[in-house]
Amino acid sequence: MTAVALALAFVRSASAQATITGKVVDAANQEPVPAVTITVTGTTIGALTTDSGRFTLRRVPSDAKSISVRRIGYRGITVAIAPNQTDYTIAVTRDVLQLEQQVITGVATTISSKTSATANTIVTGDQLNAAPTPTIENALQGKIPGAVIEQNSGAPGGGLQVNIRGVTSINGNSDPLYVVDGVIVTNYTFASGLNALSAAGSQNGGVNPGNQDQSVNRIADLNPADIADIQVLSGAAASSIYGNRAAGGVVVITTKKGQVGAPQVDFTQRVGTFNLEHELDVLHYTKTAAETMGEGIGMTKAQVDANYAACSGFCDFQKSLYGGGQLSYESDLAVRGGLGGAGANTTTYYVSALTKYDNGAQINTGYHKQSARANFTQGLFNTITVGANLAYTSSLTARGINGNDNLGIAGYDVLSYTPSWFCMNCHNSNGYVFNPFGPANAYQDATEASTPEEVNRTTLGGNVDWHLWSAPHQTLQFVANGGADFANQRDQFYLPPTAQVSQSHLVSLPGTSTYQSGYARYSNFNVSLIHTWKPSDVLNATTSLGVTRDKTATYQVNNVGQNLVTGLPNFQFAPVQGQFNQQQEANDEGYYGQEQLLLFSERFSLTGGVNAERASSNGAINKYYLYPKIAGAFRPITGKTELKLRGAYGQAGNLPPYGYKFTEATLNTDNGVSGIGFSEISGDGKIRPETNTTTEGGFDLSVFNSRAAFGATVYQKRITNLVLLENVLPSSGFNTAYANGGQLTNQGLEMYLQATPIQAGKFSWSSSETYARNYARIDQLPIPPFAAGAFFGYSPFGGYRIQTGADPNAIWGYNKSSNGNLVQIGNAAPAFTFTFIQDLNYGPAHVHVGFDWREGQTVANLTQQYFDFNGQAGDTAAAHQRITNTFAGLTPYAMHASFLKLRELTFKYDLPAFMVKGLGQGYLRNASLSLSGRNLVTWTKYPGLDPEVSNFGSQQLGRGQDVTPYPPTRSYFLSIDLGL
Amino acid sequence: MTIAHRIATIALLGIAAATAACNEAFIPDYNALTSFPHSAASLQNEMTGVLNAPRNSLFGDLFWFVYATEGFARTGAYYTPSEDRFVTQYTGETKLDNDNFGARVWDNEFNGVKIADTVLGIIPTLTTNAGTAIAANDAAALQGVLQTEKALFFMYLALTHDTIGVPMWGVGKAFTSPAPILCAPTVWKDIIAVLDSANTDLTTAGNDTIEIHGTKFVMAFPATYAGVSVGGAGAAYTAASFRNLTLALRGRAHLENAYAIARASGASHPTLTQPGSPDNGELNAAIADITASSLYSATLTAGEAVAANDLGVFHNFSAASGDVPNPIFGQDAATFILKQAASQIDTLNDARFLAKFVAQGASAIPTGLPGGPNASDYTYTNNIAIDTPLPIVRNIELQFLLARAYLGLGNYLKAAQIVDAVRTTVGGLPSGLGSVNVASYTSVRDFLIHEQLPSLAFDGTGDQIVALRDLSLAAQNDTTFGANDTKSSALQIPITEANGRNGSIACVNQ
Repeated sequence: MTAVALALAFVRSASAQATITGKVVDAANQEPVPAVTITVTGTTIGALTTDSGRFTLRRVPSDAKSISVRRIGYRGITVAIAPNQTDYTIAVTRDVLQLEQQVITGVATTISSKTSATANTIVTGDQLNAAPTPTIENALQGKIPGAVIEQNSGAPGGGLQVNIRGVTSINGNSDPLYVVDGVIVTNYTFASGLNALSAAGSQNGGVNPGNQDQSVNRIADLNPADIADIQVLSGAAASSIYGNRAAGGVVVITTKKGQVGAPQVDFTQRVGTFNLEHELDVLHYTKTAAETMGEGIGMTKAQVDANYAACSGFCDFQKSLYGGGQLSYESDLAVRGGLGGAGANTTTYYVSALTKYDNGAQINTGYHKQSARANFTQGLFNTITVGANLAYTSSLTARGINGNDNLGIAGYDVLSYTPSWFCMNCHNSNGYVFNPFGPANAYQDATEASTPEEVNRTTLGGNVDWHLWSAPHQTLQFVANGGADFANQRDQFYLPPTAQVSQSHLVSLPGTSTYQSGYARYSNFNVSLIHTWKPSDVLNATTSLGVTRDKTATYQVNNVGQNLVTGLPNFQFAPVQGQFNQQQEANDEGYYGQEQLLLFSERFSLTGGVNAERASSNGAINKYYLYPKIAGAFRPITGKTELKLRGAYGQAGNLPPYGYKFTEATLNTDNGVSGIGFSEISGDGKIRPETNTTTEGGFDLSVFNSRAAFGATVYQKRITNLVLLENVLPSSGFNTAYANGGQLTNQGLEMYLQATPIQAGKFSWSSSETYARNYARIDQLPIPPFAAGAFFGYSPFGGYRIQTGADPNAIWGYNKSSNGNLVQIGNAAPAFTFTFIQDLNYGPAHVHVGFDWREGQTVANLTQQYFDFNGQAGDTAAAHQRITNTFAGLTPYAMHASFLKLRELTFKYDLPAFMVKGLGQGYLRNASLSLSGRNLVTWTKYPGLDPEVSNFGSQQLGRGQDVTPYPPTRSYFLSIDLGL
Repeated sequence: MTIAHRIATIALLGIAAATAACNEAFIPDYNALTSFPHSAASLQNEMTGVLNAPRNSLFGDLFWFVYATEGFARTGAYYTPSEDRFVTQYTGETKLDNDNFGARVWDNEFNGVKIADTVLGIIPTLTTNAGTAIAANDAAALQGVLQTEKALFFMYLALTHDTIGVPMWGVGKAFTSPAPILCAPTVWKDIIAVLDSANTDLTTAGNDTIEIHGTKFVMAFPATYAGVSVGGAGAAYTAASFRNLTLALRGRAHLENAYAIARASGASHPTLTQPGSPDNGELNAAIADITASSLYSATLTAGEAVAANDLGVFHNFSAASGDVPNPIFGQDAATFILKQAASQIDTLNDARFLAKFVAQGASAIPTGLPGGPNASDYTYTNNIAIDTPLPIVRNIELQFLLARAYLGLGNYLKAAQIVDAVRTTVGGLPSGLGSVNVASYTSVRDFLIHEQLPSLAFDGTGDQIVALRDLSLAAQNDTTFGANDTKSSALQIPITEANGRNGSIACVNQ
């Protein structure tokens, strides 16, 4: 297409040219609207409005018929060019439902959502920050159809998993790719090394950090207040532009930018608190029962009675240990503005700073965070725009010792064996009392063990947008994006030798200290040439060619010192030390070409392209794997009622994990002599990326002049070349071998309904609902069925099993009718998700409410098993039944965990102008007060702390393991927003 | 488009293409070696790697060997005089399942065999530092050591899998996958054949130098070729010296084969009351090998109550970075515990008991079951440290192997005397012969089993369950713990092995 266009450029006769100027205003208040894209229809001639809403279009052909006016947040319109009129005032109407947005179609190309052929979700900054959240993923919960976003626990500082359109991989990466302003950023999870204190993965000072360290995935470092919008590329047709790393979907984040005009200052101050969301039902004791129990372990009656009295019969450990309620705060400051005029060499800037503290529900835990961001753009020579972004984040988190453990040290583990009449919170001359019911005192652990985690992260990026050449109907554009992301996480944990648990028979070397240092470095760039050809309204062709390159590296060191003397918390002074070291690197390189066509006044759109990538993680490092895509849309009805039919096909890849192509030698030391052997895992020198092939189709319908919109998408996401860990004959010397093979299919339905049922005078009501359902199935498996993911046994908890014809999310176990055979008894993934978000506005008053409903999921409740078997469960009859079923070899602790949550609730009031003026002494633009709550109410039959839980952190298979977690919280915040 | 623009475009495209074309795609494995040269220089490391295979991690097969064999023997947790075997009820294990339990002692051993076979394969290609082929006696020394280690791995497998069988390829048989699963008598016959080969090689090698670290076996290598010194207190031992380990292992193999042959024949296997007819030839061969080994000493000392102090060959452990800690240490107080041993053991005076166990009140609770009545009084926390070596074979074990051989031969008096010598000299207790009817098979058998418990408990040699099996005591009823008393005495073929063979895992005799 580009070649044809260039040829035509030289034969096309030039026509007379004119200049058109104008101003764009908001139809509601006649205020100027900046950053509106104005283009002469059928040409490449365009301009952006300035801060005062002005624009200038030069060299407009005399035969031009109309100009197109578009801006995110406003409905696009087309204005006819009248003869002899050169100045226009154009009124645009707010798009309450955000129906028209720019959708990413390529590395450097976008298209209007009206014509896009894929189902992409865009969440704006306002939608994202409707209620204060600890991290960006919390803010996304319930706002992306087809994405299941779950927190791993209630620990401060984040730790959530985003799973888009079902299972993507069994052994490979399952996270979506995160791209911020064109920079691929890390979402890596550095295991903190808590294992050394909890022995969750191995007893006695496990040196290797593990997936039970209750760690945080690092996307938590982003400041949600900096985000302009987030676009989620769910299907492979959309995500294939990111090739080898995009099988799990792509989350494209755009941060806020400045606009030409005077500096505008926005300041938000929040205060609030995080509280325990829900308490477990624990046993209350009569005094007689307490005496019997206490004397049974050697306490005197007087001791029992004294404890009983101190607790008034019942010590609410959960409330006093995990009640929360301390003050949290957040201060956000942002300044944005710009210099220059329309079409000139403008400078824009956006600078922000954040400081916040989220209290933890557990005593002695919390999350401090400071971040700063600076985004600049500079126009040069009227043809070049250069942008630079810089962000820095520093955080300090203390998350305590929670989750699975093998020492009886995790808070809820201690509570499971400590009767509620025993005053564990009491002191004697040595500090906290000795807990005779088990190895640890939870209060002592919470106050004397330290778990600080410090993160420092810098992300920098830049872009160049150079309009190399432009003609009335053609442009040639050079676009380059690149950047780097550096994240360092340091954990220094300490459990003193004097703690009761350290002195217990379970700890052989009391006094443990760790030093974990993880460093991630991601860098990438892409260079594109984009040719746009608009010969008429009938054809708008955008051809792009480009190169992409990215590198990722993670380095981790963990030192564990044991047998420390009292008062010396540094690992290097420990007589027994262990070290862990891991390094991973991957390079990725690709070339792409893409053709994007808009036909017949944008009634048709067609995009096709191919991305060829090679990567160091593949067995064949010089082999290019192709990721093609094609997508088309047709709008049979346009105008006040719009209907779009769309279909898309595409492929994206998932790189094999680092090192899978190698058969590693083992290296052990025996009394100082190195011994070399073979790993029992055979690498695959031919290993290749997993392939996500997605086919999707759907429609988008807007009616009543865009007052209501409804859409649906059906998709099939098929994963082939799964990276499998194949069992081989152990007698061969290898136990397992990596190999590609098999096929997994997700099929699903995503629907949305957006409407503004009422928009009358000062009152408006907008409503947004999404529904998603996903079915997953293993189609082919070249190896025998195998247990997958992480779990604690089919009986009594339930676990995963990969076998042909079965859902990989299925929870397998034993029930009374299975006759000892392993059967599916539940599913870790919800049968469907439904979100319900309502925004009510009456003049300056606003109410935002969001519900999140997940139906049909199952959780393995080990916490309940702890309480049952230790005799501390409140419902003794139910506990007895579960114990009976356990000894019968059944799976009683795989529990239904459907829930409906009141996820967000915000009341906001915009102060009236006279108050703003009076309070602000002329400096204030606006001011508002809001009261927000998050996770306020959960309706569920699940008896645990919360159905959203994952002992093993973020992983595709193995979620829903409830093991004495940091309990989930609800939060309340009062906010003041000021605009200067 | 201006000329400048065009030049800029071309330049940018050129830069982009050049940058993208840089071939940096290959990234090595930073976390592990992926290849190593099979040279004389690396031989020291490879030889060490062979013996490291079963102890390559804390929870490697060596740990599971101890865990499983002591569990099957009910050595842990409970001790009741009401049971015929005078042994204990193990409470730390759940039912054996088909998914992974069998894999607990399997993978590491075969991995070790694979490494050994690899090294055996390169011996003919080795040259000295001068570039000449290594001497025949040196090659024989290497082969003798490696064959002994292979035999040890197969013994670990055979001891834990009993009549279920073990995939094996004996001397002169090349490995083919899948290797045939051999039944117990054939397995022991082949193990003996491997050890015979090793014995021949080591005899040929004679006084060829083999590096031994201290008094504890680490690995073996003629240091003159690698130019590598083990260092420390390492002393240069010889092939002839190493041969004592080969003999001790072969003695045990003969003993097991004697009972395996008897069991295969059915009628001559011991019963609860009758001694049966274990193969006398094998029993005599066992006695000959054991007594020929310098690891055996008829003269006992009190110090041998502590296993690590005994004459023997050991797996070493340490807290050093890259090394492996003792697999019992750390689990000692949770898993390796005894319950109410006072009813059968003189817990106040038996030095063998006191060398290991410490009274903990009732606080130690076995892993795997709720606390309460199963709580133990005694934990194995005495004389166990992160670097305590674990016996491969030691003198006190050889005493009991010898006693079992004499028991099988019908020489009850000799068997009882050997056992009593351990009781009195090592245990520091009065003679028990007064309460033993040395003319009675069952009386001497029970005396042996009874005394073997405190002598070898948690040594990691598996003698107690092996003796119980050989003497037909393993499956005796005990109802103390109801559903949890599964009475398992052997590990299954791992499910991965079975699947890889399409379920055909019946053993064969060859």
